[in-house]
Amino acid sequence: MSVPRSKAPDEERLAGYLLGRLTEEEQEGVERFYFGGEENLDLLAAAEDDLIDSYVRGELTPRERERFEEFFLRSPERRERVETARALDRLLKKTQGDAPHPAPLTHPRFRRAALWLPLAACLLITAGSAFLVYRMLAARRADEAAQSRRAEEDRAAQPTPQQQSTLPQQSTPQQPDSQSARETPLTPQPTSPQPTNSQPASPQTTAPRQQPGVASILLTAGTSRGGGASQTLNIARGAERVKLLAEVSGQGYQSYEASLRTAEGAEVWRGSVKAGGRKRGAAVVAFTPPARVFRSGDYTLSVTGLRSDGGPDAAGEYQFRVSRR
Amino acid sequence: MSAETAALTEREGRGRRPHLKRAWELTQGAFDRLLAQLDPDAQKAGEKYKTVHRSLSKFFECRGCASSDELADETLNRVARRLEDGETIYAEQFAAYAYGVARNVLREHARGPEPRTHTLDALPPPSHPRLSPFEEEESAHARESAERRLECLETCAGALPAESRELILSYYEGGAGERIARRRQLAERLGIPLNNLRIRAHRIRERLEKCVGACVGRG
Repeated sequence: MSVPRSKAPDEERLAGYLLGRLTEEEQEGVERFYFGGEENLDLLAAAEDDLIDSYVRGELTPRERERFEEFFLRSPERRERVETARALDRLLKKTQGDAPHPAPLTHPRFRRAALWLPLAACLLITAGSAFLVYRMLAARRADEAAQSRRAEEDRAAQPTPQQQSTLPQQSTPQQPDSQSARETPLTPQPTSPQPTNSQPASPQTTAPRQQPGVASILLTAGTSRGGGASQTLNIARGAERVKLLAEVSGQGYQSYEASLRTAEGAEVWRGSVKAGGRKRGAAVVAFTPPARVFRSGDYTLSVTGLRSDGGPDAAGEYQFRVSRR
Repeated sequence: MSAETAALTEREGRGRRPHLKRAWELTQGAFDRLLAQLDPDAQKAGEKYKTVHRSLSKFFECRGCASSDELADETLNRVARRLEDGETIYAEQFAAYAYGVARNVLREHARGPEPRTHTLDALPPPSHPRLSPFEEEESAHARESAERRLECLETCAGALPAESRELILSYYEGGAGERIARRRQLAERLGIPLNNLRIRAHRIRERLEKCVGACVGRG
């Protein structure tokens, strides 16, 4: 399924094609190239990524810029890609601390500084880390002491069964993703004790916590079918939620349901979300089960799309491995 | 849902170009025959169909057509029709054949009314009115939307495997001058040709863009 192979055009030629600056004959040459297969088409798409980035970073010449705005930006999809490229540019700057790369150190004084600065930085980081660990341990000890005090107080004032049934369910963790409409953890998890009705949560336990840890993974359709768990989700100690971003197929669903099973087939969690807006192609649906339902091992997430008439369709099945740290 | 069913469903969701004459409509049977021509394996046929459709869509987009997906559909309709009429198209020549048909569709389309029927949304930014009574509101909305997109990008990038995240950050890092050298070094470090690195980075970026699009749409 290919057009006669032609040599890969250089990046300048591809950029010229994307800006509509080539002659008919030159255009045809580029088109024969990318009709030659998926990888060729991806090379053109990569050149398009670079062109968009150059525009966003102000690296185009005034003429190229004009051509870009008049010709290339005709397509609404491309304009959306420009917006995402702007976000990517901001993210890159953020990642690099928004600082320009340092100029090469040439002066002898700077060369000496180049030797001791990393050493000083290491010492600073080590001291800072030690201080943080000390603070965390102190906070944990204080927390444990408070919990044991509460437990003693609770034992002293144990509610009657009638009182127990009317106590509010304060222990349910806040849902970090507004998409999730309902969810049902299916197995009790002794490893992570939760306040229960017989042990009502004190103001201290219901106060907003610092920032609940969220571990996330993007599960793409087709990457794991039949091939076992190829993606690994690392759940760090202290994580409270897991965000499973599933790339689902099909469209027009009112909502999605998910069932999470262990490798042995035991269902450990079930949840649902309303369908969000989507562009063409696959949609990504987020499910956020609590981290406590996971142990290290293999899991399968089955996603079902619910049509407007309530009928279910299989929308995706994803296998992944969980590693708890 | 299989790849080929997904491809057909996606087609059905799109509108039609009214000015292209259609005396023939694609049936499920004709579509199945078109896929069978691409590959005897249904899954592989669906993937090949998507690649050809993507190439066609890119072709129409780069030739300045706003409705590139619909024109790609129309091109493949015509190919399917020729197959129904008994024409033989070998799998290895399928893309070249579709490209030839696409050029005819483009010529026909160029005679159509599209250039005179752009919606405001389809116009490039400089064609929008310069003075807007809602300028302040619009710019506030644009700022909010940019913030939301950045949040989504951070979430989506965070969901990538660490290796992919590092690759994409290193690949797109730096100014125009240093980027080329940096990418060469990165390709050497990974032990792959530069073009393979380009493709790899693009595919990760494509995944990110899809994820961000879905996330922003939900917002």
